Amino acid sequence: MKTKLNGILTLLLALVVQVAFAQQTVTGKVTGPDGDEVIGAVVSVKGTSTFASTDFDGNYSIQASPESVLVISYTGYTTQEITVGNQTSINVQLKTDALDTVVIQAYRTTTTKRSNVASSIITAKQIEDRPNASAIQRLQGQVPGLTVQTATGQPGANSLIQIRGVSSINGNTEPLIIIDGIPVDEDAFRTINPLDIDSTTVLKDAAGTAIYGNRGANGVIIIKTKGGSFDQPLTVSYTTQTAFTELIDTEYELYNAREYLTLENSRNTGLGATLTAAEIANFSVDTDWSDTFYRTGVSQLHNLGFRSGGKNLSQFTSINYTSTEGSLLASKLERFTVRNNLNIRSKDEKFTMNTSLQVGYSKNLSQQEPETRNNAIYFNSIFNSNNGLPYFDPNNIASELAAWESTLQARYSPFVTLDNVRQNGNQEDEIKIVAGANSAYKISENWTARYNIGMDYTQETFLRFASPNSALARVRASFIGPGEVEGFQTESFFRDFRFNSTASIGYNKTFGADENGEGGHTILANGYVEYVKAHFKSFGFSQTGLNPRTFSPGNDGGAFVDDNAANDEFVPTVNSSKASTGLFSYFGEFDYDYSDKFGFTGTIRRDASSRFTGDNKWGTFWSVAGRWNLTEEDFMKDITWVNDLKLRASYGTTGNERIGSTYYGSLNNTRTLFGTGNAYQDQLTFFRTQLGNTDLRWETIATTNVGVDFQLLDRRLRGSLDYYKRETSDLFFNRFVSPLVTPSGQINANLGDMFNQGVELGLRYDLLVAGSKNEVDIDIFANVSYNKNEVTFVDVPDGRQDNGSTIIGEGAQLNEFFVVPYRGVNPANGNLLFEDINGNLTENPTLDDRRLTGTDTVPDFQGGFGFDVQYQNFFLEAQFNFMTGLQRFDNNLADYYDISSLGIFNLSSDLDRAWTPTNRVTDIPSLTATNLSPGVATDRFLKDSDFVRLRFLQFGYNFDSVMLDKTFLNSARIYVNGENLITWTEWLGSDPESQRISEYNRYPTPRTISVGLDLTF
Amino acid sequence: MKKIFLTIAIAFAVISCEDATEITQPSEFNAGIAFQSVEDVKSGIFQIYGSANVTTGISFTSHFTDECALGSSGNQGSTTHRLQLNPTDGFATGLWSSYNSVIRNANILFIGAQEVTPADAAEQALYDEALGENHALRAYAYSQLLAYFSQDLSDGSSLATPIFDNVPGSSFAPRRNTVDEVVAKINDDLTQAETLLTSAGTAYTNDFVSIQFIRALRARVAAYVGDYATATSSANNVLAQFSLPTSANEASYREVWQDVAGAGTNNEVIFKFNNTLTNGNNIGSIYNTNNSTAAGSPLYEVSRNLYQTLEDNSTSNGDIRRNVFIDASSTIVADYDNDPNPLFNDRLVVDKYPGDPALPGLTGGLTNDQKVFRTAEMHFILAEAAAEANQLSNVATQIKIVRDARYTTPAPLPTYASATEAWADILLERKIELAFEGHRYIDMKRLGTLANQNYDRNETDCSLYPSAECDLSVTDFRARALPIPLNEIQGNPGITQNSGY
Repeated sequence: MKTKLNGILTLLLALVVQVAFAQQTVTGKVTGPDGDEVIGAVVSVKGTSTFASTDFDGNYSIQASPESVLVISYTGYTTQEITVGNQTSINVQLKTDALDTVVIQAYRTTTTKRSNVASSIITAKQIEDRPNASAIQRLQGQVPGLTVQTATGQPGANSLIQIRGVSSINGNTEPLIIIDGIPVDEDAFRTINPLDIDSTTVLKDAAGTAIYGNRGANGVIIIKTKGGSFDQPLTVSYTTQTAFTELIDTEYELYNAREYLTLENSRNTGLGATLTAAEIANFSVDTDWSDTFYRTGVSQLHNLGFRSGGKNLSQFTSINYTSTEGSLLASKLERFTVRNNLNIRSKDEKFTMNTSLQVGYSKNLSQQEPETRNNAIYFNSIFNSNNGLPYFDPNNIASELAAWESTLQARYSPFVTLDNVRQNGNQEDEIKIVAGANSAYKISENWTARYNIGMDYTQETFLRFASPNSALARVRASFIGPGEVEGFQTESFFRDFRFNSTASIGYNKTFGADENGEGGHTILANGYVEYVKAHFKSFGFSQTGLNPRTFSPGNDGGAFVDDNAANDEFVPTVNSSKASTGLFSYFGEFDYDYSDKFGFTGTIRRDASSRFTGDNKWGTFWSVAGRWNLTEEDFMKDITWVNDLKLRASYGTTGNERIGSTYYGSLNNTRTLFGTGNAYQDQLTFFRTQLGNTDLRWETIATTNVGVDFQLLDRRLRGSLDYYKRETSDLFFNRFVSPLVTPSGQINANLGDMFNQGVELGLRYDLLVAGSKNEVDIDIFANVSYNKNEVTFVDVPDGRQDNGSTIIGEGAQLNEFFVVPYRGVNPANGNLLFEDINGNLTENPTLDDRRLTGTDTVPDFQGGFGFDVQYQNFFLEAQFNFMTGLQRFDNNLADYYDISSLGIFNLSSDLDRAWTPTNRVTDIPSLTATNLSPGVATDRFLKDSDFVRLRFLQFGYNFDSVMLDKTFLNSARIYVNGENLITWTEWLGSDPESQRISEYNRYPTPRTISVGLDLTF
Repeated sequence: MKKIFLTIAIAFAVISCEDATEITQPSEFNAGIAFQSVEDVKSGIFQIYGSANVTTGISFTSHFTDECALGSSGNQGSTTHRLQLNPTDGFATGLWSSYNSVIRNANILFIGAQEVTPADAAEQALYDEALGENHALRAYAYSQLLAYFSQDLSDGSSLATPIFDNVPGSSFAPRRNTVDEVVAKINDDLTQAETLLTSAGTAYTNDFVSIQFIRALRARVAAYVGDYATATSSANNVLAQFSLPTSANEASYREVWQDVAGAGTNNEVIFKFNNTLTNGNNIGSIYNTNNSTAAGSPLYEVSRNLYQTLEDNSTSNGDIRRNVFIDASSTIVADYDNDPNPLFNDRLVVDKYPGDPALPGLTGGLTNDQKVFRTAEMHFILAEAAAEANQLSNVATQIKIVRDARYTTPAPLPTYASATEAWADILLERKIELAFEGHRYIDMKRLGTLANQNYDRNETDCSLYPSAECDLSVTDFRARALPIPLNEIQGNPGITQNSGY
């Protein structure tokens, strides 16, 4: 027995030694069909538990013996098996599962060759390392025709998203956003983890969007989150980032303290009037209030991802914590999310199901005022950052607040606001759950049944409070009475549940194919029924009167002062509301392909909306699209520099039911309604609140699209070019009625036509292709789009709705500026000179002197460009954005030129150039000019907001897989990012890229520098 | 599996369609269920009061005329204060929209009330009272539109405001009726109101429509259009019930403006719109941000010229209005014209709306009732009638009645050398007595030419805002009528704009 055992041991030892001896290190690079490196592909030794995954350059390193078989797998690609033999370097080019790249379309996927739609895909690699907290903001400048304009620096805040221009006046203009098949609120991205996103597909033409009918009118953005693969060992990825966020300085040339005091002195007002020239020269305080109200925000991110797969179950799980401080005091976003995606299949693989579940909690601190009350001097800290007097010292806040409480003078507002910022707060706690399941059952060879179900659940608790200790509350308390307290606390809650369910049945058959299964006719037909229902619920209260001894934000704890006989100030107000909306649709699509050469798709959809009534309830939308893959034709075979060339054309219609833009807005505008309430002498009464318009109907957008997709020069130059025209008819627009009909003088109606027309070009070129790691690899890319908008019909007198400084008029752009041209300063008297409608100079322009400028706040040309460089283990990426053809009113500049603020708020030192009898030729009018406020809109402060911005710059290092061999790591890399590092613009403020008609004391988007580390193991 | 999917598909196709597309929102309330009982009709009238309780005319008058100057917290003043009056003017838009809303809402109430039949005498009285109030408030709304928007009150054929008795649909595009037609409509409404309130036996209260309200309104409208026979008889009917005190009592007069019940209010106020903390208007916030003190961030202050008049009267005759209308905390700069910073240093705080002492808090300090008809106005109407008839001594008698109620040291009976002088004195006394009550613009429009007076702003007051215009002539188109607002022009091709705009 003992001998036997020894013999076996000896044998085992011998084997081990032999195996160990034969192990060799195999390295190599895994690339995709387009030659791009594949990150995270799994390389395993067949029949063992040994595996490695590729790093950020697609490189791997694994121990294997010559007789081993390497299995290289990655989701979406065909798994390859390669016997090692005597090779130590094995490079693998993976092929896609199907014929080529998967293209995500509305309710199905197809291949690049067989896709008939105009779409753009952004992969995770292009956006995932960016420090921006919003998944949507990262897309800016990446997709031809997609505009993302962010109007605030608040972390994670909502952005305005538009595809191919503004297609509606009153209705919703933002695209439909779908995450893993679940339609989600386009304004609620702060609780979505950007690192979970695998790809983002933007569908732009009717061929892509018509099947969404009711909601696809403004394009569709389909987000697919990451998933695991079957038969894949566990891989773990970890990402951490630290970011520093700061205000971008403005160019307004404000006065410093001594200059300002000198001006006051010369005009005999304010503090300067009480000081001598010598005292002013020695004045030591000089405050830039932006240093007080802004800071360098510090942000942290930690993300853990787990991927694995068994035979019939694979999963992806992520856990993320993000804390983002804004550059403005008291602005911060904290987010914790968990995601779990499962892929399930039956043993016979006939049944498949993907489930996705994301649960997120975010806490958002903000200063609400900059977004809502831009000239509320005691509340808006940006107003005070911009306008605070430079001779005040922020450190003297106690004594200056005391001075304010006794005088209530506006010039102390920076102290009052700073006190508010320190003591008051706004906090939104959000819980967001996006959950769904997409299942399919293959009934037979040709028939498949599918069912998708999903929900988007958002719950928010809002808290806003003003401490009773704040100076403002103390002053307000003194107005109530001696010994009283004030301060308020408002809390509210809302729950928004949106449910979506789609059942479909599909048929798919190829016939006439050759013996290799290629060529022939393929037909595909799907029929769908969709049901959408959404419910909203909110309630809240507001309490005025808080006892400072027990007050704690978000708590009563006895701090709420009770109502008393002498005083109704302390009666809390309460509110409650709910709303529901729904949609019901059935639709179908038919797709035909001949041998990858020609294809045709048709869709038709019928939708019913709860917003319309009678014959207007249902809308029918349809599309047709075709393609011709020229490179599949024999006559193209000899043109070797053309690798792929496809022509596409489509036409179709989509609808918009969101009359008033918001999801729950304008739900019953077809009905005349009364409301109850209290009126005269607090008596109960009722009154008509709404005049119904039963004529309301679907707004319809018809899109024509012609495009070409190409890959040239050994696929080194890749791109697409599209022309489109989107014509909106039955525009949701306010019909002007006599105010005798309804007090606002407007009712919601469908009356107007408009079109957007444009060209989009996206290009990518491999400038230098590295043959080995020691050569430089450079990709350059650019996208540019041009959009022209014109209103062709509005049903108002003269075809023109006059909104003061803009109009909506026939032949003009939507909201085109309509102003009197400012022509400078009259050398004779220092007054402003304007050009009247006849081209003559005038000092007293009238409303009739206004004219169109040809500009609006929407860019004409916009896009992005940049490059990727790789050399050895270093990588460098730069991305620039630009927009041209937009103008906005700079009301901050108007404030800085307003001499009546002298002694109260800071001014621009440009005023030193003001007209005087001895300085007659100048660009700044006399400080005593009599027509500084001419009473009509002029273009004096209408400024170009064109810009080129270095949106993103990244420099990093990939650790060599060989270097990591001895560690537990598969891959590692470190990098430094910069966002909004440099901006070239004539706009004087810090942020040229908002869509607001006028810019006035808003929170600008910041500059962010971050460092990050990505690991997988 | 197949069965499951097919079942789901069929279930959604058949059952769920209506559930998703026929949605009634919670609390929807339509006309069919709004009017069911006499109680409903009576409760509907409170909304008519609420919508008629408009202070836009008071705001507009203070911004536009010479009764106010810019306050220290008023920044550059409104475009209206800078005399940049055009069809986009917010006050013109607000006046047009809100008084026409009163008419529309009154029409809805009349039509809804037709669905209800009173069951007994008590219900009949309640029903009649509600309809009577509705007629009277509609007449009041027409009177305000007539005053502000008619092109020429003295010309019965000039354009005033559209008359409508229906509930207009979206294609409604009425033309403006003439002054005569609108006056006839007002009188028709008032006649019906008087009949209904009489049959209902409605008792007098100063904050609901009464017979006295109807008479006072009839007197005012008649005076507006120069029908002084009607004006005189109606005013005398009112004065049979209300008398000004024969000697000045500052405390009592102050109580009128504080809304303290008592002899002052009983004698002086015929009708006022009641403002509460939660319903109505913070009328004081037209003039002050926080409260009516120098530290309460004044927006519009007593104009320097009006202050001077009050100050002079106070010095010579002990005019109690000096201390009642101007807050004691005011900081008065003696050498106003040469002050380096008159906007901040000289603060003449309007105290006609000092806050109701019974109402607590910040809001209470800005809340007062809107006095619509006062006894003094009836004396002015009699004075106007006398001036029109060239009975100058009767003018003097009426003016002296008002002054005796205000001067602690009575002045002798005034004497006038001409009708123009008499008109000028009426206009002056109206400017003082009725200041900040929304009369000055209408008074200058109808009496300015007769009195040979133009708007008179102090030069320094004019320097506080960035515009060259200071004293507006009473013949300027802006002083003749307000512009028909832009939204009416845009929504109604049948409307005619006033001249000059």
